[in-house]
Amino acid sequence: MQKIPVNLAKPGMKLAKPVANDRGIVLCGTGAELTEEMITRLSDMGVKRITVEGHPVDTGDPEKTLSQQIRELDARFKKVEGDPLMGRIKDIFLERLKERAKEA
Amino acid sequence: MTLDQENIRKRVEAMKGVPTLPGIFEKITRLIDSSETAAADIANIISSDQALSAKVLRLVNSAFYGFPGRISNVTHALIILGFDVVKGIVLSTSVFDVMLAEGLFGLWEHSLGCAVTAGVIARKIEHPDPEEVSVAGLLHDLGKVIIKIELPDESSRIEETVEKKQISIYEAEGDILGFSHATVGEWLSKKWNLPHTLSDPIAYHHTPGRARLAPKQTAVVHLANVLIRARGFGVGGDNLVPQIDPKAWETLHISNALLEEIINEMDDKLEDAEDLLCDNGMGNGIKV
Repeated sequence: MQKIPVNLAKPGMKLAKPVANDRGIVLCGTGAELTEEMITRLSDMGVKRITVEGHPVDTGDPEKTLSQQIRELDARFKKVEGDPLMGRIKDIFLERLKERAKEA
Repeated sequence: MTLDQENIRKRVEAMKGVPTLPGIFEKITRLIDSSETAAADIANIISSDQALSAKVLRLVNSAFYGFPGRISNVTHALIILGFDVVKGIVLSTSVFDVMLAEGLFGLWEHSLGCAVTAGVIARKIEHPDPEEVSVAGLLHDLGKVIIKIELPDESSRIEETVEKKQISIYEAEGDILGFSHATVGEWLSKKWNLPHTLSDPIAYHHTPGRARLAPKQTAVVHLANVLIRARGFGVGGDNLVPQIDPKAWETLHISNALLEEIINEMDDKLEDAEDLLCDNGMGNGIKV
């Protein structure tokens, strides 16, 4: 799934997460297929970003590579190396990074 | 070399709170302290400031509190969350305004992330008041904002020291000032009469063993601060994950499996929280 600005939404995209307004009231449920009319309405209601299925929009934001992210993780943990609890925490975050990379 | 701590303390206490701290905060504090106050009285005051009530509702309905869509007015927020939480949220909105005005986006993200994480931990360990713990997470680095504003020269030296010596901002503050943002936060929480459930985590999130009145909340915020830094979300002033205090860790009784659940859930929630960051952090302001 990908979070995109509403102005880049296109008819036919499917919501991967419900859309709620400022006050948290759900306007559109997961799985709803967007139409031109819905996109206009969401935008009129002040919704800025929505989460859609797949990865339909190239945001031009170069994502960090997995190895870059792992290097940064290592750097953050450099002062607590060798501590078993901190090592466990680092491993869990490392797993998350790897899973994310697989999903993308 | 350290500064005259007493002198600085006086300077900080003489500030009218955070520079843009609204008079509303003092009114609310007075009302909360009076035993005859009803939720509607406080709600009236908050509601009289449209921008503030919009911010409060936006925050309580965001991913942080876990019940989106349920709170549509300030009275409802007060009843569900309790006076102290709403007071903390009002204070947070002011602190955040200052952070954004000062260009401290990274610290703002760090604070929001810490709030999300503290809320997740509190729920997982079945703490009775996760919303309040979350507000403690929002406010835990309050002192950093004050140091940045009140002591701009020292603040630059602290940043240089972090960079040069590769130490934490907490250590660098000790080197340059002789005290830390946690201490400054403590002064302010006292001055503002924050409940100890907020003031202890603010004062002791780096030294949780010293929390006497709210050790559990403090341990949660301490852990949340470690995890949010481990995640690399926002900027806490340095790029280093601090060591978890073993005693604080023990008091939380978190198994390996639960730790993994906590991290997975915080990671998912942070994605939702990015909505709030996106809307506010890009300089669009908060829509009323």
